[in-house]
Amino acid sequence: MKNILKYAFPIILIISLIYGVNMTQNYSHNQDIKRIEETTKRLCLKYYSNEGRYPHDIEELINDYGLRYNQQQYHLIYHNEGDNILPTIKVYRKGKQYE
Amino acid sequence: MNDHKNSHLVFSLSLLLIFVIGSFFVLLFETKGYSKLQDTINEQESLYMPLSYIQTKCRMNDDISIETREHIDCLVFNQKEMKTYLYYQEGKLKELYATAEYKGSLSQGQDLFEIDDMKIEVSKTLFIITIKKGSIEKQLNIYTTRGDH
Repeated sequence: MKNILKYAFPIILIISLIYGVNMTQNYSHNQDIKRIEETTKRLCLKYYSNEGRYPHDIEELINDYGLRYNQQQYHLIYHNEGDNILPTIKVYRKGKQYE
Repeated sequence: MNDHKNSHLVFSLSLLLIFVIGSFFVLLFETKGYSKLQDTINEQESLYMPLSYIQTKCRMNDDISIETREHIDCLVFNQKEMKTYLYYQEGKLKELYATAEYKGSLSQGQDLFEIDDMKIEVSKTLFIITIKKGSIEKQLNIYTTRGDH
Protein backbone atom coordinates (compact mmCIF):
# COMPACT_ATOMS: atom_id res chain seq x y z
CA MET A 1 0.00 0.00 0.00
CA LYS A 2 2.80 2.31 0.98
CA ASN A 3 4.60 1.52 -2.28
CA ILE A 4 1.53 2.22 -4.36
CA LEU A 5 1.12 5.59 -2.71
CA LYS A 6 4.81 6.27 -3.18
CA TYR A 7 4.50 5.87 -6.98
CA ALA A 8 0.94 7.11 -7.41
CA PHE A 9 1.56 10.53 -5.92
CA PRO A 10 4.31 11.63 -8.36
CA ILE A 11 2.37 10.17 -11.31
CA ILE A 12 -0.79 12.07 -10.36
CA LEU A 13 1.30 15.19 -9.83
CA ILE A 14 2.92 14.89 -13.27
CA ILE A 15 -0.43 14.17 -14.98
CA SER A 16 -2.04 17.18 -13.25
CA LEU A 17 0.91 19.34 -14.24
CA ILE A 18 0.69 18.28 -17.91
CA TYR A 19 -3.09 18.73 -17.87
CA GLY A 20 -2.72 22.18 -16.27
CA VAL A 21 -0.10 23.31 -18.81
CA ASN A 22 -2.28 22.01 -21.65
CA MET A 23 -5.34 23.83 -20.32
CA THR A 24 -3.38 27.06 -19.93
CA GLN A 25 -2.05 26.79 -23.48
CA ASN A 26 -5.55 26.18 -24.87
CA TYR A 27 -6.89 29.14 -22.93
CA SER A 28 -4.05 31.33 -24.15
CA HIS A 29 -4.65 30.28 -27.79
CA ASN A 30 -8.39 30.95 -27.50
CA GLN A 31 -7.70 34.38 -26.03
CA ASP A 32 -5.24 35.09 -28.87
CA ILE A 33 -7.84 34.09 -31.47
CA LYS A 34 -10.43 36.35 -29.83
CA ARG A 35 -7.96 39.23 -29.63
CA ILE A 36 -6.92 38.93 -33.30
CA GLU A 37 -10.57 38.81 -34.40
CA GLU A 38 -11.50 41.84 -32.29
CA THR A 39 -8.45 43.86 -33.40
CA THR A 40 -9.09 43.08 -37.08
CA LYS A 41 -12.74 44.07 -36.75
CA ARG A 42 -11.82 47.30 -34.92
CA LEU A 43 -9.28 48.18 -37.62
CA CYS A 44 -11.85 47.42 -40.33
CA LEU A 45 -14.26 49.87 -38.72
CA LYS A 46 -11.48 52.42 -38.41
CA TYR A 47 -10.59 51.88 -42.06
CA TYR A 48 -14.23 52.40 -43.06
CA SER A 49 -14.48 55.56 -40.94
CA ASN A 50 -11.45 57.01 -42.71
CA GLU A 51 -11.76 55.70 -46.26
CA GLY A 52 -15.50 55.28 -46.70
CA ARG A 53 -15.18 51.62 -47.65
CA TYR A 54 -14.05 48.38 -46.06
CA PRO A 55 -10.60 47.06 -47.02
CA HIS A 56 -10.65 44.74 -50.01
CA ASP A 57 -8.16 42.33 -48.46
CA ILE A 58 -6.26 41.80 -45.26
CA GLU A 59 -3.05 43.13 -46.84
CA GLU A 60 -4.52 46.64 -46.78
CA LEU A 61 -4.94 46.41 -43.02
CA ILE A 62 -1.47 44.94 -42.57
CA ASN A 63 0.27 47.52 -44.76
CA ASP A 64 -1.72 50.67 -44.00
CA TYR A 65 -3.18 50.15 -40.52
CA GLY A 66 -0.42 48.16 -38.84
CA LEU A 67 -2.29 44.92 -38.22
CA ARG A 68 0.13 42.38 -36.77
CA TYR A 69 -0.52 38.77 -35.77
CA ASN A 70 1.44 35.56 -35.65
CA GLN A 71 1.01 34.36 -39.22
CA GLN A 72 2.92 31.16 -38.58
CA GLN A 73 0.56 30.13 -35.81
CA TYR A 74 -2.79 31.57 -36.88
CA HIS A 75 -4.72 31.60 -40.11
CA LEU A 76 -6.92 34.65 -40.70
CA ILE A 77 -9.85 34.30 -43.08
CA TYR A 78 -11.03 37.64 -44.38
CA HIS A 79 -13.99 37.80 -46.70
CA ASN A 80 -14.93 41.15 -48.15
CA GLU A 81 -18.62 41.23 -49.01
CA GLY A 82 -18.77 44.72 -50.47
CA ASP A 83 -17.56 48.22 -49.83
CA ASN A 84 -20.42 48.93 -47.46
CA ILE A 85 -20.78 45.64 -45.57
CA LEU A 86 -18.72 44.58 -42.58
CA PRO A 87 -16.38 41.78 -43.76
CA THR A 88 -16.48 38.28 -42.32
CA ILE A 89 -13.42 37.70 -40.13
CA LYS A 90 -12.46 34.31 -38.75
CA VAL A 91 -9.23 33.25 -37.09
CA TYR A 92 -8.07 29.64 -36.78
CA ARG A 93 -5.05 28.07 -35.20
CA LYS A 94 -2.92 26.37 -37.82
CA GLY A 95 -2.77 22.61 -37.57
CA LYS A 96 -6.32 22.38 -36.26
CA GLN A 97 -9.32 21.28 -38.29
CA TYR A 98 -11.47 24.08 -39.60
CA GLU A 99 -14.89 24.12 -37.84
CA MET B 1 36.34 48.38 15.01
CA ASN B 2 33.53 45.81 14.78
CA ASP B 3 30.94 48.46 15.73
CA HIS B 4 32.24 50.74 13.05
CA LYS B 5 31.97 47.97 10.47
CA ASN B 6 28.39 47.18 11.57
CA SER B 7 27.25 50.79 11.39
CA HIS B 8 28.80 51.07 7.94
CA LEU B 9 26.83 47.99 6.82
CA VAL B 10 23.57 49.31 8.33
CA PHE B 11 24.13 52.65 6.59
CA SER B 12 24.75 50.98 3.23
CA LEU B 13 21.69 48.75 3.62
CA SER B 14 19.55 51.75 4.62
CA LEU B 15 20.69 53.61 1.52
CA LEU B 16 19.84 50.60 -0.62
CA LEU B 17 16.44 50.32 1.07
CA ILE B 18 15.69 54.00 0.45
CA PHE B 19 16.74 53.56 -3.19
CA VAL B 20 14.51 50.48 -3.60
CA ILE B 21 11.50 52.17 -1.95
CA GLY B 22 12.06 55.30 -4.04
CA SER B 23 12.27 53.27 -7.25
CA PHE B 24 9.12 51.40 -6.28
CA PHE B 25 7.15 54.62 -5.81
CA VAL B 26 8.51 56.16 -9.02
CA LEU B 27 7.44 52.99 -10.89
CA LEU B 28 4.04 53.04 -9.19
CA PHE B 29 3.37 56.67 -10.16
CA GLU B 30 4.63 56.09 -13.70
CA THR B 31 2.33 53.08 -14.08
CA LYS B 32 -0.65 55.00 -12.72
CA GLY B 33 0.08 57.94 -15.02
CA TYR B 34 0.47 55.68 -18.02
CA SER B 35 -2.74 53.74 -17.35
CA LYS B 36 -4.64 57.01 -16.84
CA LEU B 37 -3.32 58.29 -20.17
CA GLN B 38 -4.22 54.99 -21.81
CA ASP B 39 -7.75 55.14 -20.34
CA THR B 40 -8.22 58.69 -21.65
CA ILE B 41 -7.02 57.68 -25.13
CA ASN B 42 -9.26 54.59 -25.12
CA GLU B 43 -12.26 56.57 -23.90
CA GLN B 44 -11.76 59.22 -26.55
CA GLU B 45 -11.18 56.70 -29.30
CA SER B 46 -14.18 54.64 -28.28
CA LEU B 47 -16.30 57.79 -28.51
CA TYR B 48 -14.87 59.35 -31.67
CA MET B 49 -14.74 56.10 -33.64
CA PRO B 50 -18.53 55.52 -33.58
CA LEU B 51 -19.16 59.17 -34.44
CA SER B 52 -16.66 59.04 -37.26
CA TYR B 53 -18.23 55.79 -38.48
CA ILE B 54 -21.74 57.28 -38.51
CA GLN B 55 -20.47 60.41 -40.25
CA THR B 56 -18.80 58.35 -42.99
CA LYS B 57 -21.91 56.20 -43.33
CA CYS B 58 -24.01 59.35 -43.82
CA ARG B 59 -21.48 60.72 -46.30
CA MET B 60 -21.67 57.55 -48.37
CA ASN B 61 -25.49 57.44 -48.44
CA ASP B 62 -27.75 60.23 -49.65
CA ASP B 63 -31.05 58.74 -48.60
CA ILE B 64 -31.22 58.77 -44.80
CA SER B 65 -34.31 58.42 -42.64
CA ILE B 66 -35.40 57.47 -39.15
CA GLU B 67 -37.51 54.44 -38.33
CA THR B 68 -38.72 53.18 -34.98
CA ARG B 69 -38.65 49.41 -34.67
CA GLU B 70 -39.10 47.43 -31.47
CA HIS B 71 -39.27 50.80 -29.63
CA ILE B 72 -35.75 51.62 -30.85
CA ASP B 73 -34.97 54.62 -33.03
CA CYS B 74 -32.92 53.49 -36.01
CA LEU B 75 -30.97 55.57 -38.44
CA VAL B 76 -31.82 54.04 -41.82
CA PHE B 77 -29.70 54.27 -44.94
CA ASN B 78 -31.87 53.42 -47.91
CA GLN B 79 -30.36 51.80 -50.95
CA LYS B 80 -32.19 50.46 -54.03
CA GLU B 81 -33.33 47.12 -52.61
CA MET B 82 -31.50 47.06 -49.32
CA LYS B 83 -31.57 49.04 -46.10
CA THR B 84 -28.92 49.51 -43.45
CA TYR B 85 -30.20 50.06 -39.93
CA LEU B 86 -27.89 51.70 -37.40
CA TYR B 87 -29.16 51.64 -33.83
CA TYR B 88 -28.29 51.31 -30.16
CA GLN B 89 -29.20 48.09 -28.41
CA GLU B 90 -27.99 46.49 -25.17
CA GLY B 91 -24.89 48.64 -24.72
CA LYS B 92 -23.79 48.39 -28.33
CA LEU B 93 -24.05 50.35 -31.53
CA LYS B 94 -25.37 47.80 -34.00
CA GLU B 95 -25.84 47.57 -37.71
CA LEU B 96 -28.30 45.49 -39.66
CA TYR B 97 -28.04 45.14 -43.41
CA ALA B 98 -31.28 43.76 -44.79
CA THR B 99 -33.73 43.83 -47.65
CA ALA B 100 -36.29 46.62 -47.63
CA GLU B 101 -39.05 44.13 -46.76
CA TYR B 102 -37.17 42.63 -43.82
CA LYS B 103 -39.41 42.35 -40.76
CA GLY B 104 -37.09 40.35 -38.52
CA SER B 105 -35.67 41.28 -35.16
CA LEU B 106 -33.07 43.97 -34.59
CA SER B 107 -31.14 41.57 -32.38
CA GLN B 108 -29.89 39.96 -35.61
CA GLY B 109 -27.67 43.00 -36.24
CA GLN B 110 -23.90 42.99 -35.97
CA ASP B 111 -22.18 44.57 -32.98
CA LEU B 112 -19.99 47.51 -33.99
CA PHE B 113 -18.96 49.57 -30.96
CA GLU B 114 -19.53 49.47 -27.24
CA ILE B 115 -21.28 52.68 -26.20
CA ASP B 116 -23.52 53.65 -23.30
CA ASP B 117 -26.30 55.45 -25.16
CA MET B 118 -27.30 56.91 -28.51
CA LYS B 119 -30.04 59.41 -29.20
CA ILE B 120 -31.25 60.44 -32.63
CA GLU B 121 -33.19 63.65 -33.12
CA VAL B 122 -34.33 65.07 -36.40
CA SER B 123 -35.49 68.50 -37.36
CA LYS B 124 -36.29 69.00 -41.05
CA THR B 125 -32.97 68.38 -42.80
CA LEU B 126 -30.84 68.19 -39.68
CA PHE B 127 -30.02 64.96 -37.89
CA ILE B 128 -28.63 65.34 -34.39
CA ILE B 129 -26.95 62.17 -33.14
CA THR B 130 -25.72 62.10 -29.55
CA ILE B 131 -23.46 59.33 -28.33
CA LYS B 132 -22.60 58.74 -24.71
CA LYS B 133 -19.65 56.73 -23.46
CA GLY B 134 -18.87 56.78 -19.77
CA SER B 135 -19.22 60.33 -18.55
CA ILE B 136 -18.53 61.92 -21.94
CA GLU B 137 -21.22 62.84 -24.44
CA LYS B 138 -20.60 63.99 -28.02
CA GLN B 139 -22.94 65.27 -30.65
CA LEU B 140 -22.87 64.90 -34.40
CA ASN B 141 -24.92 67.19 -36.62
CA ILE B 142 -25.65 66.04 -40.13
CA TYR B 143 -27.45 68.11 -42.72
CA THR B 144 -29.07 66.21 -45.53
CA THR B 145 -30.34 67.48 -48.83
CA ARG B 146 -33.62 65.60 -48.49
CA GLY B 147 -36.40 67.13 -46.43
CA ASP B 148 -38.89 64.26 -46.21
CA HIS B 149 -37.99 62.21 -43.15
